Amino acid sequence: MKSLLICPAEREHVAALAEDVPLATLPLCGRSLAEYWLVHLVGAGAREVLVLSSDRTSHVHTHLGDGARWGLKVTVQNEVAERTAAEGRTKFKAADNSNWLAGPNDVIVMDRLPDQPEFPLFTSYAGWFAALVDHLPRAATSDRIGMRVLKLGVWAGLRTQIAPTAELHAPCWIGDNVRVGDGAVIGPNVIIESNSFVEPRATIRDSYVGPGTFVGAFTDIEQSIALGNTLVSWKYDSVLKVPDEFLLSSLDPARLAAGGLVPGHSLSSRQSQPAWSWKFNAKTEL
Amino acid sequence: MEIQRQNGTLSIAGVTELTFANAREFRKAVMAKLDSELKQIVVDLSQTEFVDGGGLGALLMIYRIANEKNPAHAVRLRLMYPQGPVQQMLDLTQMRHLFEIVTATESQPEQKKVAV
Repeated sequence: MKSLLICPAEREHVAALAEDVPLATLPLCGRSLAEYWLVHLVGAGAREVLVLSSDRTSHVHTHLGDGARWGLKVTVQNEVAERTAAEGRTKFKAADNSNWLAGPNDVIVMDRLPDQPEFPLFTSYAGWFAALVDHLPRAATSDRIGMRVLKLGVWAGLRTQIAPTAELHAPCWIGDNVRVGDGAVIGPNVIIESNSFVEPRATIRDSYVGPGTFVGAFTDIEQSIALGNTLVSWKYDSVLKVPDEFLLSSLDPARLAAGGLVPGHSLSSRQSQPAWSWKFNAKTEL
Repeated sequence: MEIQRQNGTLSIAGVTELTFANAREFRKAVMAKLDSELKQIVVDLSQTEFVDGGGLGALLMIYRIANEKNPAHAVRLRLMYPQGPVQQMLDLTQMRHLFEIVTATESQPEQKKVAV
């Protein structure tokens, strides 16, 4: 059975979310929107999926590969502009009307998560965050390797290290290979994506921290979306490029280089050499 | 930048940005007006588009020196009407624990001009 997935292109109300990666590949609790939809389509009986992308298609192609991970045949095709579901049906389904999934799974515009038809993702930053928080309790599916429940409503991923004195308030999701320092306060309603680094005494509440983000000591992230050094207040719909890397910055070498930082800068070594002494015991190393 | 002193209040306005580049100049201009009679410093941030760690450091320095010169009473530092990104920077660095921050929504438009 076949299906057509249409990736969201530029969405002006949430432009900052797509600065580094296309909206379809931005992680939402460790898994991209495209991945959620492919898993959904497998469950619906799809075996062949055509993905239309008009924003950084090569990135989408690299991200999804040939679909073998899901037991699918995935083909990623570049388009000049984002198509509507009706246009997709006209051009692709009408031309070859055999073996398609029944609607609405035949043609899907990825502007919401599969389990949240009532939560449009890209109408505002506040809406995007609300959808994510609603999805959070259902994100830890059995196929998440290494994901653990630390306490009710608190999940932490593979190789994540959390200092014993850090406070974790449910619900919160902490991805793979994250470090959380002494006295940090995480939650409620927090998603920290993989490979991020939270220094001691930082506070994160009602917020999303993107992959590979450094959160400096004593910083306070509330009602915000932090992607590298981009800080979006979803409450006030305001975007700030934080100029001081010790407060908020990206740990992605490519993004650091784009920001003009020289190789060998102290940031480069932060992940391998924490600035504070860790006091872990066997139970805290996950 | 305009600096006015009236009674116990030092009012600072017209700061378009407060960054590492102009923090020293800002600090020197304000510190020249500090004395033992000062009760509060009011910084109008309504026209300020950008603040970085250097600018926040200058505010902290002014606050500290003003209080050192007034051991008998605490000198308040009030930050008035920060715009979106500046407000975000103040929130990120937890400046609300040190300074009084007055947002536009907390005050009526006619009260926006600070009484000195």
